[in-house]
Amino acid sequence: MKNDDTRDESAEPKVSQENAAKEANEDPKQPQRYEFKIAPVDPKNNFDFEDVADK
Amino acid sequence: MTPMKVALLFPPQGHFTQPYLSLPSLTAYLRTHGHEVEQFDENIEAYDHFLSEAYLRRALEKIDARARMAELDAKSELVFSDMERYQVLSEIAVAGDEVAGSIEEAKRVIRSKEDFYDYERYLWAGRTIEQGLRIVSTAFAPTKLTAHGFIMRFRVERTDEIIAALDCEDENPFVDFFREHTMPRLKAADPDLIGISLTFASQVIPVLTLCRQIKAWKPDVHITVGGGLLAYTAEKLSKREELWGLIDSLVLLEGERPLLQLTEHVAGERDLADVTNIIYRDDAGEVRVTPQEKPLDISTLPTPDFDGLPLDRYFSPELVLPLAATRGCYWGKCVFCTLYTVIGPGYRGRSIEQTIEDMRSLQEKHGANSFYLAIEDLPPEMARAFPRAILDAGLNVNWWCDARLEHKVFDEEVCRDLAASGCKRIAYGYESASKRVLARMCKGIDPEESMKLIRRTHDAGISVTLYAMIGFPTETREEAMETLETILANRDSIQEVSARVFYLDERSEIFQRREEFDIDEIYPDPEADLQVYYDFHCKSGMSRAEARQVYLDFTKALRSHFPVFQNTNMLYHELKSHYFLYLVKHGTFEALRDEVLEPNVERVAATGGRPRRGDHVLELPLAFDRSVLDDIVNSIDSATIRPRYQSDLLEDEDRARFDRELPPLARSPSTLLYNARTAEVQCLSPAAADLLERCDGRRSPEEIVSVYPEEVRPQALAALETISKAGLIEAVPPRH
Repeated sequence: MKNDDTRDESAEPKVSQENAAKEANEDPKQPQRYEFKIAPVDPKNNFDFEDVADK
Repeated sequence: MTPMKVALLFPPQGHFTQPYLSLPSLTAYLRTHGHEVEQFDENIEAYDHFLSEAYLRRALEKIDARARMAELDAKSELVFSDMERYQVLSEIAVAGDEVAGSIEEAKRVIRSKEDFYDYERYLWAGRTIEQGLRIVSTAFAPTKLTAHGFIMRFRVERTDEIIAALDCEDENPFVDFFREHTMPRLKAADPDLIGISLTFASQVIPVLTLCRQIKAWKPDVHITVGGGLLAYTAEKLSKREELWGLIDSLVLLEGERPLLQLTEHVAGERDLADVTNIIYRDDAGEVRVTPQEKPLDISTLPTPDFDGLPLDRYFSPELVLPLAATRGCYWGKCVFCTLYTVIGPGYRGRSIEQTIEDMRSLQEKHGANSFYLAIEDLPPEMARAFPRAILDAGLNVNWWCDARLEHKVFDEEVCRDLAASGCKRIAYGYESASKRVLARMCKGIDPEESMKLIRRTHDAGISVTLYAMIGFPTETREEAMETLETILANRDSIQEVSARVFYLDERSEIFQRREEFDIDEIYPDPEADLQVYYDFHCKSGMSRAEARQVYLDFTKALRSHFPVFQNTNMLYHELKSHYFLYLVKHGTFEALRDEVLEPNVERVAATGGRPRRGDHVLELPLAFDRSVLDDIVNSIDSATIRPRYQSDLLEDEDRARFDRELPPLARSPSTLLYNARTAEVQCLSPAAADLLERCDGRRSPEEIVSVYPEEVRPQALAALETISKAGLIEAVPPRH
């Protein structure tokens, strides 16, 4: 696999964010079409107890 | 004696909820001796400056998150390093402007005596501050500034890397901060002597960054650096030529007397060679270590002097002032401990009357009703007499401290007196539930008696925190699990646990006697000239990787079973004083739990009437599934892969390997939502986002879900309730 430094950007599909989201959502063949998932995004849950204890 | 002008500085990074004791102790001592002292807490100044609207707006401009997100979203797949960037940039792209616009209000809430105790407002403010710090960090990536740490890719165990960090303006936020904010004030003070605190590893790079700027301004001013960390590293640091262009002397152990003698030196009244407890370089270029004086009798010291510190700027609604009634540890036998290295041999105390007087005078002067006894442990005679003395003096104070599990000392009466005197929290060194492990540590405590004492403490109305250590040499997995299971089984009496993995410190007794503990190999980093902690191999018990894994399992269990660690973690996150202040407010942990942490009222779903998406919800459509991406990125534990001293940054080499070896993430859309009222971020699947979109205030829940096939409508209604509980929709009352 190519890593980021050697990636040929011109070969990447240029799709706007909104279009990308819409396309996938409207595709009836999408297996997850009716998956109603709501997940909290909370990076601070990853804090290390050890960091807190040190000071 | 000639009165001198002294500037004392506490550089970033330390905690932001209360002042540390170092500067006030030294300031009081020097002022008593007739010197003019100005103290600068550059730690709180820096947090306050970085977490300002103007600064965050500049950082956002530099990051340009939307443009960088567009680049990532245009990719056909994301490799690991893309995912790391995506995680940070997507949050900033959706919430950055709102965070910058509300950061001043967040600080106001944290400092407000009313709003701080409104738990919903408090959580909002705490999250906003965390998000603000992530913006600052991203502007200086891969540097990370959090509430608990400051780490750069430059290792603080390697002098060459420290020196390289000092001018790295793109990654070191303190170059600009010191230049623009500290130096003008320091120049105005124009001191004869400058003393800088170096207590934590997170201060190393900031301290030397500051020294370089001071020397560029005034090469002849004497800069002395002292503090806990130097006890470990000063000798090694002093061997490096680069240091002596930045610093004139290093103070070992207690700072009071050396600092006073240094004022005489800068006045031309004393040779450096006659200043005790320091390392310096003489005119011939030789590094000299001066004789060590016997430890101070701390009953001769004045009350710490906080005058001149920006006491209204700490991130706390009330002052919680630190006080040291003792120095050293009366036990002093634990083989893992290095305390004697930091403050010198011996155990010394102030009289109880003096400590009562310290509290009274600080209460009168600053209106402080809360104190943190910054002592290693509460000595038996003090545990018995101090509470009565507080009550007899009629002092209305609240306080907390660390203590040993002395089951013969802390009987029911002592626990009751402690609680009556305002003691709200005790942090005990529990370490392990295994008799064998405790005996090898030389802890001198019995786990069964300890647990009875823990219950007595809790039953008296005092919140109990336990320190636990995992991976002590020879400890087996079964022994570590016994500790976890015992803690969980007694969780009604234990409110917090502070767990850590054992580190092998070269100044500890166990390091000297390591063969007795089955340690047959240590792994020094050949490039780390300042290394003090070592990775090692032990012939018996858990491996280092196993210990880390048990620690991760341990902390996972704590998160699911302890109210303080659940949901948002915010109270624990602000460990120093916020949880303590909430305890003071509510009286006991049980009251705090029932009234605040786990109130018996569910967040009510607003799905009645005609749900409408709230205007406070900001949205960012993504080409990749952020929740799947989070699972991948968060599954990597840098400490398991390659332990680094006080740093969780991944090595470039490891990152490149993950880029090559981990399967890339394929495109799959999701929607990121920022709730500006709670400062929470949610990731919605396309179907959930579509459901939210349909909440336009014109349709009932049944009408909203009617477009879906009948068999999925129940799931859709359930999802609507979840969306509502997350505060993303409001109910418009039904039409009559």
